[in-house]
Amino acid sequence: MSGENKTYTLDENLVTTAGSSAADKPLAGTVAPPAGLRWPGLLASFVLGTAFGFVLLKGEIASWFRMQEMFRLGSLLMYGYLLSAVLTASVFIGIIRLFSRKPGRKQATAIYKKPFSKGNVWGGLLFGIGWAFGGACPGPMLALAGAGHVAAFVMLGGALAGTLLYAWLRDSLPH
Amino acid sequence: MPSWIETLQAPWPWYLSGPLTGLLVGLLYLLTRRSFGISTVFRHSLAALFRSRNPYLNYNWKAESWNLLFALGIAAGGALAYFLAGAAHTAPISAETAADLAALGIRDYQGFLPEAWFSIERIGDWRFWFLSFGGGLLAGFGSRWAAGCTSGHAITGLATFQLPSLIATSCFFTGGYFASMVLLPLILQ
Repeated sequence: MSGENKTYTLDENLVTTAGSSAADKPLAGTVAPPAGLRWPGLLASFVLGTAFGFVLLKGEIASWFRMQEMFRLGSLLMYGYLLSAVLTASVFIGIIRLFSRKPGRKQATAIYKKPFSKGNVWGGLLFGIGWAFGGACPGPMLALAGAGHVAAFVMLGGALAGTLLYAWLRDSLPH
Repeated sequence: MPSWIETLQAPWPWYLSGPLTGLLVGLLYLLTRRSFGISTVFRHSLAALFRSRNPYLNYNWKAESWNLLFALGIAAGGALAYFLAGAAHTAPISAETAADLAALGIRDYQGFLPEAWFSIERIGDWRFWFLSFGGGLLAGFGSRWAAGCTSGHAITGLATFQLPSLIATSCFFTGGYFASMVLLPLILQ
């Protein structure tokens, strides 16, 4: 990718514009997405988000009780949920990428290689602890807030505070 | 009552909600060319709210506004499901877990969050803040440090066969097992 390529990517490790960091290499067969999205894409994002929030509550993924069941191995329901979601997504994305490899078609975009960092381990462990305490990862927090749970708003406030804390501390954390 | 309304009103089994989630991830990729991931919305929100000189929070967040709308949609979907589609009525949890939780002072298993620790009446109890604000803080901090949360690593990352995501997901679960089996009993008992 060169300077005249008017794309924008968000590199998780450091904010860059496309191509200026070694880390933001798209996966093979994919190219960087166009900068921003026009209204059809933005509308699709909102609608798909709505569908996802709906599934999170109807499937009880946003339930503190189900998360405790999962972490205490009292039931394997949530493992079934996660595995079937991964499998379906994998097949769907795989098919899209297969078709987009054909010449003359639009290339599939923006599945970025996630470079390994020590943060995957340390941040992952901390995230897991927070996940078990609130019984919600970020998606469920949002869905529960929409359903009017005051505690979920407090969790979202905590998540914003945690993100700010990370922004301040990130230079002194191992990566 | 038509059967689809009954299906909509009852809690959904994992083999319906799991594949549906995977389908949504694929559709998001197909229609918007963006990869599924949620926790990054906290970063974009901060970038949008404050003008910071911190390079981590000072960037063109508007290019990521789809993610803010996606998050807003999740909240809207939660509201729809809860207030219109009967999600407030949850299915019973396993007897084993119920017994475990009884030891933590939880005897009402209705809904999504135990009233015993998360209801508004508990707002004066430090444990309310510890679980809600503390849980959110760790999740927010940890997901940025790990560069992804359950959606970005455990779903998108695993679905695209990325080793760092497998490592992160294993650590999510290790942290979760430790917090549920060791820390929660220490804090709540």
